Amino acid sequence: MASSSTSVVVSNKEKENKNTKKVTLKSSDGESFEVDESVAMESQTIKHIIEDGHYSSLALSLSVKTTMASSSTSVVVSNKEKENKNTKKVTLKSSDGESFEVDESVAMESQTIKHIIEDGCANNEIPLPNVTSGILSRVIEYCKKHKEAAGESEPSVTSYTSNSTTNPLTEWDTEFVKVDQNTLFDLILAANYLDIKGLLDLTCKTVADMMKGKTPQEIRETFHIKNDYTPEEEAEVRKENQWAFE
Amino acid sequence: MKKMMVFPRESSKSDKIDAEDRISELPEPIKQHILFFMCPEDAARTTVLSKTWQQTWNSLRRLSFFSVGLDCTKTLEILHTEKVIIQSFKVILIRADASPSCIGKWLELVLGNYINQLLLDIIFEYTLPKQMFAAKSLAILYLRGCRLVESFFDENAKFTRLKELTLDKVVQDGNAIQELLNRCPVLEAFSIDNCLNVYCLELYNLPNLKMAKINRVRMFYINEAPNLHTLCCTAKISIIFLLCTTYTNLRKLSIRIGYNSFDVMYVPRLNSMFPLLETLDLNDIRRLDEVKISHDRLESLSLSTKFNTITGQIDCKNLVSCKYEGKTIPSLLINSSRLQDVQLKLLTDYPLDTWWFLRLKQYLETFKQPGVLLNLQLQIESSMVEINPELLSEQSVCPLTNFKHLRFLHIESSQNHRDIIDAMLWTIHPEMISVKLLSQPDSALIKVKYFVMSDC
Repeated sequence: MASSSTSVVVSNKEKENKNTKKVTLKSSDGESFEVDESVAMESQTIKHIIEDGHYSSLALSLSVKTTMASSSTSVVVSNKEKENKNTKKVTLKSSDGESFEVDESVAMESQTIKHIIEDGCANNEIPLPNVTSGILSRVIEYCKKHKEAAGESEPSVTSYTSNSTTNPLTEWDTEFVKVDQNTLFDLILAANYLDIKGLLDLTCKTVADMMKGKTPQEIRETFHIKNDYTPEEEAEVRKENQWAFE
Repeated sequence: MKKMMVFPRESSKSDKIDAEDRISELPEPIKQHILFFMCPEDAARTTVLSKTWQQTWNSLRRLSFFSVGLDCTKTLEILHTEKVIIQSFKVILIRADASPSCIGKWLELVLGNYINQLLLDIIFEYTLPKQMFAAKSLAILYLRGCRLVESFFDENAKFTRLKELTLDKVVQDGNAIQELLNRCPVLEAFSIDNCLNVYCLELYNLPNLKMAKINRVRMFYINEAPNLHTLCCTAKISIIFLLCTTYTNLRKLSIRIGYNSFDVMYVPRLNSMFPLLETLDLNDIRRLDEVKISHDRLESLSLSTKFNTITGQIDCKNLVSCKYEGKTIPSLLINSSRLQDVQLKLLTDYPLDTWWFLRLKQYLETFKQPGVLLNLQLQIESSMVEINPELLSEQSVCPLTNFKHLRFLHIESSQNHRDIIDAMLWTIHPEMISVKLLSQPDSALIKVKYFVMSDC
C-alpha cells in the first residue's frame, strides 16, 4: 500500500499498561492503532519521539511507505486516502427490495442517478423500480470496474465503435457480456434506464455482433423473431434492398 | 453465408421455455442503436426479419450533407453516435485546404451508413480509398478531380445499385475507369469528360444504359446497348459500333471524331443500325466529301465542318429542322416535305464579292418547302469585300421573304457595314435583323432600310 503522506499522532499510553508498554498511533483521518511500544519503535522516527518524551500531543507529518512489519506482529498503518474526502456512499434499491451500497462516484456513472443526486432528491436510498437485484448487481460491477480504470475525474468514456482501440478493458468486457439472452436484454434496458452510455454501447454492440453474418432465418431463430411477412411481401422488401443481399 | 457465433450462449432453461421475441420489443431508439454497430449491408438486411424491423430501418433519420471548402468534421459529428440514411454527401473543395487524411476520415464515417448519392469535387488528385468500392448502396456517383486505382477493385465487388456515374478530370492508375464501368451492371447514365489517358473505352454489357456522354477519349467501342437513348461522343481517333447490331432505341446521336470513318462505315447503314433515330449531329466533319444521308425517321440534322465544303443530298422525309455550320456556302439538297426550320451559320474569312452574295441567294432559294423559315448567321471576317450594287440589283430579282432572322455575329471592322447589310437586303427580307455595331448607329442607314422593306 503506497501513500503520499500520512500524519501520525503519537500518544503516550504508557501509564495504562504496565506489562507491555503500548503506544497508540493515530492516523491523519482519525483512526487509532494500539501497538506494543517495542513494535512501534521499529520506526526510528517514532523511537525518537518516545525517547524525547515530547509526544503527548505531537502531530508529525511522516512519509510512510508500505507496511511496518515486525517479527510477531504486523503493524499496519492503513492508508485511508481513498476514503478520505469522497467516501460518500449512496444506497440503491432494486425493484425486488434489495439494497446496494456503493460509492457515490461509482453510482454517478449512471447519468440518471447523477441527476437525482445533484438535484438533491437522494435522501437515504434511491429506488430503482425498473431494475431487479440480479441485474443491478451486474450493473454496479460494470460501473465499479470502469470507474476504477478511468480514474477520479469524469465518468468513464469507453468507446465501442469499430475502429476504436481505446478500451483497456476489452477482455473483461467480453467476459462480462457472456450471459444468456434474457440477462443481456435486461442489461440493455437497465443501461438505457440508468443512462450508462458505455454499458449501453457494449450490450448493443454484443447484440449487433450476434446478428452479423447470419442469414435472416438464422437471426430469426436466434432471437425467436416471428416472420410476419407473406412470401410476396418478403420478396418485395428483399427487392427494395437488393443491394444488401448480393 | 458464413455463420459467426461470436459468443457461446450459456444455455439456460429460460431460453428454451420462454421463447419470447424480446429483441423486437426493445424501444425503437435502442433497436436503432443496435443497427448503429452494424455495417450498412447487415443493417439493411434486418428489414426482412419482420415488419417491426422494417419500421426501425425506415425510421432512421434521413440526412443530406453539403460542404463547400469547409471542414465538415463538425457536421459529421452526428455520425459518431447515430446510424442514419444518407441521401447525399457532397463535398466541393475549391482550394487545397483540406488535407487528404481529413477527407479519408469523412468518407469512413459516411460509408458506415447507407448512402444514396456521393459527390466529390476535389481540386487535387485525391486517391479514393478502397473502402469506397464496397459502398453497395450508392445509386449516384459524381467524381471530379479524384484518382482511381485499378488494384482497389475486387474481383467480384459490384456496384449493384449504381445508376448514374459521372467522371470529370478523374485520373486513373492502370485501367481503373474501365474496371469501374465493368462493375456497374444497372448503369443508366454515364458521363465522362476531361479524363487524361483514356485510350480506349468500352461500353458493353450495360442493358439499362440510356444515356452516355463520352468526351475526350481516344477510341470508343460500343457493343449492344438495347436501351440506349442518347449518345454524345467525341473521340480523337474513332468510334466503333458493332456493325451487325441494331441500336433499337437510339434517338439522339451526336458525334465528333478526329479521324473518323463514320461516314464510310455507318452513314450508309443509318436506317438499319439506328432505325428510331430522331436527332443526328455530325460535328467537325473532316473527310466527308459527298454526304448521302438517308433515314426515314430523322427529324433533326446538324452538320458542321471547319474545313471542307459539304455537298450532297439529304433524303429524310421526316426532317423538320436542319442546321449547317461551315465556312463556305454548302451545296446540300434537302428532300423533306416537313422541313420547317433551317439554320445556317457561315464563317467567312476569305474575300467576298457580289457573286458570293448571289450564290448565297441561289442556295437559299432551293428551300422551297411551304412554311419553311430560314435563319442565317454570318460571321464576316473577310478582309476584302467588294460589292457592286448595280450588278446586285440587276441580278437579284426578288428578295426572299421566308426569312426569320438575319444575324450578323460580327463584321470585320475595316469593312463597310452598310454595304454588306445592303447587299444582304438585296437578297433577303428577314423579319428581324441583328447587327453588332461597333460604332454609333447611323440613323440614315436605318431609315433607308425601312424604306426598302416597305416597298416590297
